[in-house]
Amino acid sequence: MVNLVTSDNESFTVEKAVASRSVLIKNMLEDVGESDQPIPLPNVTASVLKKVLEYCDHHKNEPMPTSEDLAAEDTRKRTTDIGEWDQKFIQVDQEMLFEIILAANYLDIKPLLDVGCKTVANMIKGKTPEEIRKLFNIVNDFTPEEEAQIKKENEWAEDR
Amino acid sequence: MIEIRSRRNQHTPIYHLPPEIYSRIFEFACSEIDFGHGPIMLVSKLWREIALGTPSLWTKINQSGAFCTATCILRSKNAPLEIAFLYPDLGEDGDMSATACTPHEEQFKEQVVLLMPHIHRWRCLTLENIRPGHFWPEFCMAAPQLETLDLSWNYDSDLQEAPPPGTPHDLFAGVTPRLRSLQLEQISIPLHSSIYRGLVELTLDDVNLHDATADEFLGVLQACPRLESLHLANVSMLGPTPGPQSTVDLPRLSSIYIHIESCRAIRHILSYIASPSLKSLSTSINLGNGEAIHDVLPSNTAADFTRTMGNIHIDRLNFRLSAFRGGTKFLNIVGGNKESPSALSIWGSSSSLHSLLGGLFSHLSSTFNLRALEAISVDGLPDSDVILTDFRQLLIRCYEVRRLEFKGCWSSIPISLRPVGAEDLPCPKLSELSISSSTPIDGWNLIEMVSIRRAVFECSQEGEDAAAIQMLHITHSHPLDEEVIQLLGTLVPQFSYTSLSELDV
Repeated sequence: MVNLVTSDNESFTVEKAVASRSVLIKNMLEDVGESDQPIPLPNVTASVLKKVLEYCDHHKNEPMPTSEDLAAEDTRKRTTDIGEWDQKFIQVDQEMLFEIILAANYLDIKPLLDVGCKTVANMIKGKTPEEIRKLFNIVNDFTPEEEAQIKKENEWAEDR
Repeated sequence: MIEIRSRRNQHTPIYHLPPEIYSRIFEFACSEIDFGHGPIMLVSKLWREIALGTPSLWTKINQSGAFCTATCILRSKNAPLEIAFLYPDLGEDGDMSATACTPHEEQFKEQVVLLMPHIHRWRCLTLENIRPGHFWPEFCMAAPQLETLDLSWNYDSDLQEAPPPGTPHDLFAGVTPRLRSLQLEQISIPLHSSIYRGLVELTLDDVNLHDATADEFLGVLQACPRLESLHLANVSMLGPTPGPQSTVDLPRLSSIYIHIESCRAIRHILSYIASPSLKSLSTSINLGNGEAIHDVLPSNTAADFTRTMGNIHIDRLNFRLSAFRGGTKFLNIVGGNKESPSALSIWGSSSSLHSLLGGLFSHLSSTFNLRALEAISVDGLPDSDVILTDFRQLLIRCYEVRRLEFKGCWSSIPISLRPVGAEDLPCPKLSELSISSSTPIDGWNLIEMVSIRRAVFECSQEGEDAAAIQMLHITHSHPLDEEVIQLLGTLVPQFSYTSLSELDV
């Protein structure tokens, strides 16, 4: 078992197979060897780690992506398809969604990072700039002149 | 004011994502054709800055014009490029025999001039309706990252597009070490080109390979040991030249579609490919005068093919053989489809085909492993004793067949399902038989066949190797004797008889 301590000082004891879905933790465990010392995760809060561990537990028996898989990914056509379980798992509010993405990035859990990024990408797709701003509470910080100039520059891109 | 707005954006949850995650999100969002980067560029200054700094968003280049191409080249930095120039055809008014450039070809040349200095990062290239005379001289430099090449020409003309005469160089100077997928439609590239080396997918559609022979084509396959898919549709090449040919080992080949004008070429190619991973084999043949269907099948003396294919259970193979004569289909054999993976379905169009079908079934049964096949249906083959005798050889190899269905063929089929001399019993586990015939069936032959098979079943050890017929359905235009019907009713638990004349009523 592995003991993980969050930024808000909460402890989680999990199976090694679950914790090792994180490449960061896996490498730490390999470096430290057999030890009872807790692993501090200063960038992850308890509520987020709980969700991340739920994901890791569900996928603990799946093969880890190899470096060849990651290299080959660039040459394949990307899709935004998300598995059924993952879709339900990632149905959280926006703040939690971004926290999960940040945690997956920090803990180096590539498949979870992709689930998060695909979810945000699916939220963006098919929307106008104004709709995207509204969705993420972003304010338009272009001057009207800048906006007109970009629109003109992008005319060719619209037809793509 | 603008600065205040930008600062306000810093407090939104999404702002906390680092740029590399934004980039990844944008890559996913723009991965589908129906969503370009236009909306992303207009959300906020931060989003625009990140999109401009994400090279992979700018790698798709199409026929949008020189400005677009130049912009994408700049913004994509050193990322591999995916180029697709998909021009529509010019319609009937376009004079494609002229050597002058069409407007599309002019536009292509304008853009390709900008792309040539970056040929080292081309990953995918798709060209539609640009004649080789106009692209071939341009592609004279190495394309070390090219993985996919798709060249097509959609004009309905007899003009076969080949490289310009006297072209001094191979396409891409013969250097495409990463090319894995090649698709050519109505564009012919000589088989000696290095473009054919190391492929994983090869598709030739409506291609005239001119004087190339089937042996030379096997040489191409020999240079593609990792080939997974081979698709040859309406390809013209010459048959093989006499002389020995070694087997081409293609351990990963899973799908073959082959429609070549020369039956001898098909037979030669199929005979010398060793492909133990084959999942799909689809052959479409057009028989010429004096050719029979078995002329196209690998001869059972082609030991390498038989050795390889003999290990492939036909029920696990998506198998299709379509045969045409004079443009009309006369035979279709389909097996191992998704709906009924252990079934073979044979369809023939007329009753005067026995000269074309000679030896077909013994060829099939000696070439493929039919051991696990569970069902066979036959529709419309000629009522010929020669064909039936041939078909019986196939049935003898079908040890696991439980269900047989005959429609419009062979009134003497009951005799063929009996044991003869020392030969094995055809389909020993047969339990369901359906015969629909418009020619007279001798009811007493039916009774004898059912009785003998029952006796074989009762003699077999615990019935493991044989079965008695449990279901028999006869649809017949000639009435059976009442006595025959009664006897069959007592011999077969589920017996039904329908007279076609009753159906007519």
